[in-house]
This record gives sequence, structure tokens and C-alpha cells, in this order.
Amino acid sequence: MVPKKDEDLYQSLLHELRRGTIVLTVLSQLQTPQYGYSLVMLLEKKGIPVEAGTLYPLLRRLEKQTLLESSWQTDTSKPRKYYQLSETGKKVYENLRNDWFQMVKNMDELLKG
Amino acid sequence: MDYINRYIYAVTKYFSGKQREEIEKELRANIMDMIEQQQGPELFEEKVKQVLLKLGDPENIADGYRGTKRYLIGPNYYDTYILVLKIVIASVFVGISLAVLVENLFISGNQIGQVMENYVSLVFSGVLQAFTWTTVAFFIIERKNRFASHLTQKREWDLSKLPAIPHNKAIISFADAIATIVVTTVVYTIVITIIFSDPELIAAYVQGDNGTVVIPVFHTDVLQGYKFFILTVFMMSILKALLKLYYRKWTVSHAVIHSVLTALVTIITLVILLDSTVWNANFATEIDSLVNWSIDFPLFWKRVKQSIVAVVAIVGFTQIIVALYKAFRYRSA
Repeated sequence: MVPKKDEDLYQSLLHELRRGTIVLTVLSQLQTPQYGYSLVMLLEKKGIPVEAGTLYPLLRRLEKQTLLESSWQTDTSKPRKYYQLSETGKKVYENLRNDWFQMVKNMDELLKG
Repeated sequence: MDYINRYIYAVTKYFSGKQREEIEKELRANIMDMIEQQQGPELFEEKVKQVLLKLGDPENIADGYRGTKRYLIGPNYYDTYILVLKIVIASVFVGISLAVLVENLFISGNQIGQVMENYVSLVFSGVLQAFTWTTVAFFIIERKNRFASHLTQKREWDLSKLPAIPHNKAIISFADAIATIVVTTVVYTIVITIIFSDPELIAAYVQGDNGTVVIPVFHTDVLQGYKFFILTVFMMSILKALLKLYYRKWTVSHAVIHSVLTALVTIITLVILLDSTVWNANFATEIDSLVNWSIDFPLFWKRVKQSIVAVVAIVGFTQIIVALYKAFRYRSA
């Protein structure tokens, strides 16, 4: 469906643009273990908020794709599932990070015209 | 707590087994964390509502866990599906209306209320059937293609994979495909409505000394015994018409499926027509006794029946030959 108003169109384009960066955003913060909500708060604090409803399923998907490892911490009264980068995840993150810097550099050139 | 359980159920109902357990456990832990972090003096229930509203539509979360969206009929076929649905429903509607109209032209003294009641229920069940079968057909196409795309995903695409442009004469025009669907649906709807409700209407109406005498062409009990076969013939004919719309050209596989269906339709129709008990055995003699013709009517009637059988056979045969000829003759290499 094509949004009728310009504002809707703009919002959907912005949404697309942000969506492409979510995986990289998440991978970057999982050098140390985080559980779902702690990651939500961490990203919000760093100014790249990702909605909880998007993030929780994404963590599970990334784990299935073997980019993340998880473990349940049951020693406290509340069990929590902690995620962190797997070995594969670390390599993939390293590569994506380099690509990102290159892309930013080139995009800067483009946009500054 | 009630809202939380309902929310979690709304997300996990799409999953089963271990996956469902894991998603439930994790989602619950996350929700409880979020509630705990809500600062402020509100009641627990209020915090629950805020957190769940923030998480948003559970369907979206379920989509996220699944990684793909699910549809009965996906975007590839949706427009065609709606189009065919409209056509088929309109055709069924027209067919039933015509059949009921014809029925009532021949039967006088019907209560209008009774006729309308009968008509409404026929239209209702007809439209429901049309909707169901069209949806089932598209559902199968959708599944089949999704399955096929899984199989071919791994293979590299190259130029040889480009489909050849079909020969002009092998193309089935959109109008042709639509017309086939309309004609098939209308004709069969009329036939089925009459055979299922008033098969004795198919009769000769002879003006005798004591008013009009109605002599049925068929032995109605036997004919109604073939209901299942007649429905099968209808389904297969509709399928043939839908396949035309789906392929939009005569390929070898299309022609082969088309031929098999045509053969089955023709054979079943011939089985019914060649069953001598289907026909009213006294039809010709009764007419002969009422009307004084110079011709030998029983013999003439026998010829008519033979001709009908011959026409059905020839039409079926011709359809098969034409389809196969077009497919092989204009096959794009």
C-alpha cells in the first residue's frame, strides 16, 4: 500500500532506513552479556532506541542464526535469559563494522555533494 | 496478571512444543523486568497496561519470532484471487437466478414466498460453494509456489533461466480465460440447480386433449443418483478454466493437465449419458401416442440421443487435440 500523505511516506522511508541498522546496533552491544530489557535500556541511553517488541524476537532469531549464544541465569529469584556474541557472531560483527565505516565514509562523500 | 497471560497467549498461540515454551518463558521474564523498572506510584495493574501497550500488537511480535509473515493467499496472487472470486460469485448468482427463473416459467401456481425462500437459500449455498472452492484453488497454488521456491532457492540464476516469450498462438488471452470461467460457472450452475431441485423440468410439454402433458426426458431418480459425478464434472471444468487463467499460455504441462481433465470430464459425462436407465424409457412412445407425426419418432429420438453422445465425445476430443497441438506446435524452445 502506498501511504497517501507525504508525512506517512516520509515516516515509512525513515523506518526502513533505521531497520537496516538494527542488527548491527544489537551486535555492537553484546560483547558483554545482556538480557532483553537491559539491552532495551542500554540502547535507549545511548540514543539509538529499539522497541522492546522488535528487539525480543530479534535476539531469538540471531541466536538461531548462531550469531548469539544464550544462557538462563536462574541463581537469582527471577530467571533471565542472557545473550552475548558467539564466536561466529564476533567475526560477523567485525566484518559488518568495517563495512559500516566504509559505507559511512562513502555516503558522507555522496551526501555532502 | 490476567492481561499478561492473555498477551503471552496472543503471541505464543502461533507456536507449538518446545519453541512455544521457550518463547513464553523468555517473554514473561522480559515483561516482568519491564514492569519492575516502571518508576512511579501507579498500581501494579496500571504498570502492566503501560508495558503491554509499549510492546504493541502481539501479532507483530509473533511475526518477529517467526521471521516471516503468514498468509492464506499471498500478495502475488491476491489481486487475481479477488478478481476470480468476484467473477465466480457473480456467475453463480446469474446462473442460479436464470435457473430459478426458468423453473418458474414452467411451473405455474407457485407461492411467491416459497419461491423467494428457495431462491435465497440456493444463492446463499451457491455463493458459499463458489467462495470455498475458489479459495481452496488459490491456496493450493500459493502453497505449491512457496514449496517450489524453497527447492530452487539454492540454485544460481542465469540467463538460461529466462522463460522464452511464448508464441503468439500459444498465448491464452485474458478475456478468453475469464470468459471460460464465466461460461463454465453459469452453465453448470443452471444445470446443477435444475437437476438437484427439479429434474422433471427437463421434459417435453405436449399439448394433448386434456391439457398439457409433461413427459420427462430423464428418469429423475437415476439422474439424481449421479449427483456426485455431476459435481465432479463441474469441479474439474472449473479447475480447467482456472488453469487457463493461471498459465495464460499453452505449455506442454498445461496442455497435458488440461487434456487429462477434459478426458475425465468427457468420460464421466458419457458414462452418465450411455446409462440407458438415465433416460426415461417411455419418453418416445408416450410422445408418439400423443402426437401424430409422419416420422417414426422413437427412431428419431434414438438418433437424437446418439447425436448428443457423439457431440460430447467430439467436443472433448477436439479440445484435447487443440490444446496438445498448440502446446507442441508453438512450443518455445
